[in-house]
Amino acid sequence: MKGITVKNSETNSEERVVKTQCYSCRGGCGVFLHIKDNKIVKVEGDPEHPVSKGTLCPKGLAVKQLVHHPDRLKYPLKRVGKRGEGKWERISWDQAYNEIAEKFQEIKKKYGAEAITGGIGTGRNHNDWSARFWNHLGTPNANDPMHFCMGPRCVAGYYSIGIPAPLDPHYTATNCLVAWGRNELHSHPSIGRYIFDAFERGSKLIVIDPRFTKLASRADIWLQIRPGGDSALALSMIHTIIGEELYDKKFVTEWCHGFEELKEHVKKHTPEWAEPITWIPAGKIRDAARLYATSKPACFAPGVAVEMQMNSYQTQRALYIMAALTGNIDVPGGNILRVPPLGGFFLYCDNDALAPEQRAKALTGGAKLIGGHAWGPPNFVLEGPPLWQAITAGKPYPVKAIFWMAHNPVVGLPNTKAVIEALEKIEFLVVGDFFMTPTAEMADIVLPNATWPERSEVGWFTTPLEHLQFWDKDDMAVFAWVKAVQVGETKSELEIYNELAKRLKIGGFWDTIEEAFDFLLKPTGVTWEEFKKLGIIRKPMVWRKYEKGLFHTPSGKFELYSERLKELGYPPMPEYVEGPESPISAKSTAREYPLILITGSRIPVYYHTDQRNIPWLRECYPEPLLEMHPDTAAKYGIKEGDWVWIETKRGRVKQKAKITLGIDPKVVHAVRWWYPEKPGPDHGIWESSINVVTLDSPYDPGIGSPTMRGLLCKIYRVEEEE
Amino acid sequence: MEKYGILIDFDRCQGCNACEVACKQENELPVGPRLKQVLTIGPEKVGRRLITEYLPVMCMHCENPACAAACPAEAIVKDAHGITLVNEKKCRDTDKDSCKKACIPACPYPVPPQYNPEKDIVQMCNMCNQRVSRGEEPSCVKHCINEVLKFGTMEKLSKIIQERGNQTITIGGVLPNVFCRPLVMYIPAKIPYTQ
Repeated sequence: MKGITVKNSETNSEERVVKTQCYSCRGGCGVFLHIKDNKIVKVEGDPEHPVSKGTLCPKGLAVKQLVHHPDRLKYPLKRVGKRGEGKWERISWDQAYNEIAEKFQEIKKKYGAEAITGGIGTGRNHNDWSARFWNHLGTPNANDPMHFCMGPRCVAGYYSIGIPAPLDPHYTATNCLVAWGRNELHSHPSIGRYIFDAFERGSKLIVIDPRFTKLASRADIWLQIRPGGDSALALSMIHTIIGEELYDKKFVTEWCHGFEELKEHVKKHTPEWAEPITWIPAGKIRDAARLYATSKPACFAPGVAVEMQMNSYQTQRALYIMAALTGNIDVPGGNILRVPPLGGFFLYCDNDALAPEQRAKALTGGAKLIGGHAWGPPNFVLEGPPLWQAITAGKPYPVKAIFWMAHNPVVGLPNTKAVIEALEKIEFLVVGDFFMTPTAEMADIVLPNATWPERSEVGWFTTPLEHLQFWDKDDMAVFAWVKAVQVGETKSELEIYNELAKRLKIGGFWDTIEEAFDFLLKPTGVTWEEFKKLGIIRKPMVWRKYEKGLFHTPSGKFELYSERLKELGYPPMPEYVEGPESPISAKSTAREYPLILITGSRIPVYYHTDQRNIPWLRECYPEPLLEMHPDTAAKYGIKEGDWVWIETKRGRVKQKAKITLGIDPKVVHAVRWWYPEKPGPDHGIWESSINVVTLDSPYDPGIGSPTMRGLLCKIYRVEEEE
Repeated sequence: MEKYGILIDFDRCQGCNACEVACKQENELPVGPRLKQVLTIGPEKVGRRLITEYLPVMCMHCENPACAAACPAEAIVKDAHGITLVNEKKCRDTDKDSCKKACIPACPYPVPPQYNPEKDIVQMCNMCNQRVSRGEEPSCVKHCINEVLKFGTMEKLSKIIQERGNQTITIGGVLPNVFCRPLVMYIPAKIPYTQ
């Protein structure tokens, strides 16, 4: 059974097999694509891949339905009807490039480069290229939705250890895993094996999640937290660790700055204080803190759940502080300080290419930690109220053009109404994607982007990923993706930036993608041609890098207390902040909207807003489900499978009732949704997209995180005629 | 001939549906027939604990298949390895109004034979016999991330069952298991729920 080779799975001489990497998520699992007549006939896992070991998740296994989907965008399109009317004409790439370049020149001349904003969603390997392009064009308003996804972890890293990196969990050697708002089994199925291996080795497990997941069912301690209570829980755990002297005195003395201040700061944050805020009994909080602090090595798996809330980076910082107090930083089984194989983070954004006076114009909405200048990541504009206001009201200056690739804000960003209003007003919108999304429907020019089998890349060169797909045993790797097919005239983002840069006569880009790859690979000493054949470059993991001077903070230590945050006007140590719309902060709203709404847990067959139109995947999860407790369902007369309105102060959408004991009776959980199969321009967003009812303001004052989890809502059954 | 079987160690199943989609791809199935499915069980109170599990389910490859007994066209057969197979030609040639797809209700397990309207046949797991004959594992087994699914000879699987405490779990009720004697077997969680 073992040792399957490419050769004996080739059954046809015309069939060729391409070894590459799956990027149906941010990914990195090894695959063999079986190609015949420029079509993928089959995908198989690559048994030699160090992490995925021949396995694949459903998204990778369904890739041929993604690549060869009948609705794929195949050619550049130009709007010929009214905006959003769905009338298009096919144009050549040459015309598309020219029209975009001309329009950008015109807007730049009339309003300044800052009137152009551009960027990406989650992106597939082009975070650096996007930032680089906008820096060279001269606009400070590049986006990357880092303000509510991983950015808070990077900011916490920057102000704690001087490196804008998430501190990733090292599952393979841990004795205690704390999954904090991160259901890894569904967000990154390919990592599941490392977690189950850890259990079987005897690792303890603490799960902090309002939902009872399979991870929770295996947990030694499951803390069913009130959504929004994370910072209070973290502070009370720190209180316990310090108060009971469970901290690593040697590490704290040698490598931590500001311990006395922290000790004083958390004095008031007793588990008894946290109990009513978190809904977790004080005794259980103590148990969790003790278990974590005494099971060395122990690691945190921090997730986006705390980042899609106010107080996002401060809560993540509180987790990092716990890791530091217990000496679990950059040790096997603790939290890894990851350095990408090609060097530092966001090395290729060319942030210096943008003049400081332009940088100062960034529409950050007062969120001073939002990125760029200080800590690296390529988000500068706060894609939320500050940007929408610049578009709709011209304040503080007008924004006239948007250029988005791999970004679907109409579904993915909070408060859909505000997004749509801005897109209706924007003068010039370019959207690149695989399909005609509700965002692409609003565009003036639509560009067809290449899916992963249609492109070559140096995989994730400098982005600090939260995944361990890149990583196995004690090394880190960079992988080659190799182009296998071409559908229509699709292009990768880098190809598009290269060509646009040429026509706009700006620097920073190349004639061909291969030249860019050679540039990236320079530190490794191999060329793209060689790398393509190697498929992988591995770099040994070095532990305790702080001993080699990797804490790039002013104190040279882990900063429990951050002078730099204080100077910027932010709390130097994490504080408890209640979200803007919770039963504690908004008592009068809670009378009309008595339930707490959480949104957007991961569905293993989908990735973010993608893939709802892939038949094999949709069949596994066909409709949007709203989870509620049986008592809640009984109270509102709702039966399993009923369509239910979820109403907040922003409006209402409907999802289907799924009744489960795995959620508190005062909490409901909705998923992110749209219906690619329904007619445009809306594709059913007003029916079921949960971001219609989420909140974009007020946002986290530091990094701008909106509130997509922990809102107030009411629910009621959809009547037949609705 | 050695009998083949599939052992399902659902303790490690994370409910990611990889096996289901691997099966769809291998058999080039349209939307509709689902030869492999992943059920979510719970959360339910078991004793004092709340438990939730995922359970991959499929054709059980019974030694004595009720579906075959019910088929008037004798289109469902057992091969030398004990794999239950549909004779596609016989099934296609049978008027479904007359046979009333009797195999489907006859099955006492969660995934009965699946009707594929594009081919006008019922289909079920064939343990990827086309792959096995090439020396590969069934696609679901190969791609399962957490090694939940194990394929092999009954001898090999029996050894694993013995190592794991010599316990199997019935998922179709006691009587069907006594009568049908499935070759697809389930073993309980490594750490008992009572601990």
